[in-house]
Amino acid sequence: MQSGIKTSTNIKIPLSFILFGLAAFVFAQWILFVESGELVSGQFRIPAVWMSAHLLILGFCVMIPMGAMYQLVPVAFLTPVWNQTFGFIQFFVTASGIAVFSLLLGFRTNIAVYGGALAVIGVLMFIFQMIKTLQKQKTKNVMSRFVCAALLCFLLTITAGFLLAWNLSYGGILKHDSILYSHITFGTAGWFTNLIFGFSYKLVPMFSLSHGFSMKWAKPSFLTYTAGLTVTIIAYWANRFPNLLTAGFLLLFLDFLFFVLDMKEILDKRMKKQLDEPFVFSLTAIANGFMIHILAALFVIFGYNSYEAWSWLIYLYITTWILFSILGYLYKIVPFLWWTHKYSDKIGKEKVPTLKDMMNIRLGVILYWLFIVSTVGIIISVSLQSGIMLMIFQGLFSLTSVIYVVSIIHVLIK
Amino acid sequence: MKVLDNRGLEPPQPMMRTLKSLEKIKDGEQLAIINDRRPVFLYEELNELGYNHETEELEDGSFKITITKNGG
Repeated sequence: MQSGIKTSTNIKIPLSFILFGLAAFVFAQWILFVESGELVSGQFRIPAVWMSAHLLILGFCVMIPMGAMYQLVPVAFLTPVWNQTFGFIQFFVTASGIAVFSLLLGFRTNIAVYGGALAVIGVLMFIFQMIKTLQKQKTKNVMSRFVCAALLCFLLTITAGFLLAWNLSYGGILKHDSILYSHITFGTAGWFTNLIFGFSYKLVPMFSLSHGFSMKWAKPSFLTYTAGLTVTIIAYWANRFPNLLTAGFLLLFLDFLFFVLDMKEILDKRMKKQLDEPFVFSLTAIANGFMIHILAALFVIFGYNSYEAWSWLIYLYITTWILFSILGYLYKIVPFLWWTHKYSDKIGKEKVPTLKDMMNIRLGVILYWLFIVSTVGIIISVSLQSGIMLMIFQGLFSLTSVIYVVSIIHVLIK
Repeated sequence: MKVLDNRGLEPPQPMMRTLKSLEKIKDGEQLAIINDRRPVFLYEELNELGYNHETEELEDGSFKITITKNGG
């Protein structure tokens, strides 16, 4: 056994990312609420939606996992973050890049590429930081593979994204749609899904107190995932082979199925019978992601090419799989961070609150239901082409987001 | 008192080993564990089980937690 390894990160790094992410989340939802009239007609490719989407995806769905990784990678991989000062600089570069880029997309699309460049530098700094950190890991495991693949996809996502921003500013790069589809696929199925898969192999056993599980599907899942992603991307660029796209989506579906089988086994072998609600919310996100993969595979098999249907499928993938996973885990991660920061030195010496005291779980449950109800409402409104209903349900989603963010901030004053 | 050294193990192994060892000892008995970090999530489980625990920081930066099994 080795002696105590100092692997903890300065709490200010993950917290800075999380607080920025929460602010971006509220702004993104507010813009969607204001623009709900455009959305009902399936208008996604307009500046305001670009701004909202990038605030939500880059500002929230990228910044929060980055912050969480600063906290989790050292704990899960038993290796300290390579350089914490570099981490702070990376935060400021990335945060300013994302803020400037999103605003330019909304108001001055023709010069958005400059904000994009700053955001890209921030992301490259993060990838560099993580590679240097992971290099020090003594024994590689399945989780390291998923995380490394996620980082590679992240790099490809921002490369494709930068080319798109370049085209919006200067034009000249052909195959804009192929780049856009690659950007979305690398970002969603590549970066997020891989990252959530990787961390789920740690977090799900930890929060369910599971042991003796085999993880026998982890390797097949990783291999089909890599194959699925590669085939799908090739299919976007080689239009002459339509069957390739079907094969790619089927492989991605299989990859998700293997992951679900492993998660089921972990949960079947758990010691903790009563799982806590935020964690259950993150687990239901897995079911959502799986359903969307089934739908996407069926769409390509039957050649269903509706632009609106695909746009909403991507919306559901981002909202009910990626966003819901994050919203569930944040209720576990933030109290953990704050408790460690404020009370860990005092435990045993004086009376300190428990982790459960830090969070209003009952409010959390209501918020999770409101997120589900408003998402279902948004989909029904769009199917019925009802502008008023969409405004109501998007309004409900935005309001729930604000209360959710306030409930998280509330932890930090405990 | 039995001492369980959990240092150098990847989570959630330290927590699982500790809970399994606690299952094996009798009510009123104590178990000491040595961890790389303060086991924040383990504290939650111990509180739920109603077991008392005390934490002390060791010289090498690791932590020793003494747990008393209180009979649930």
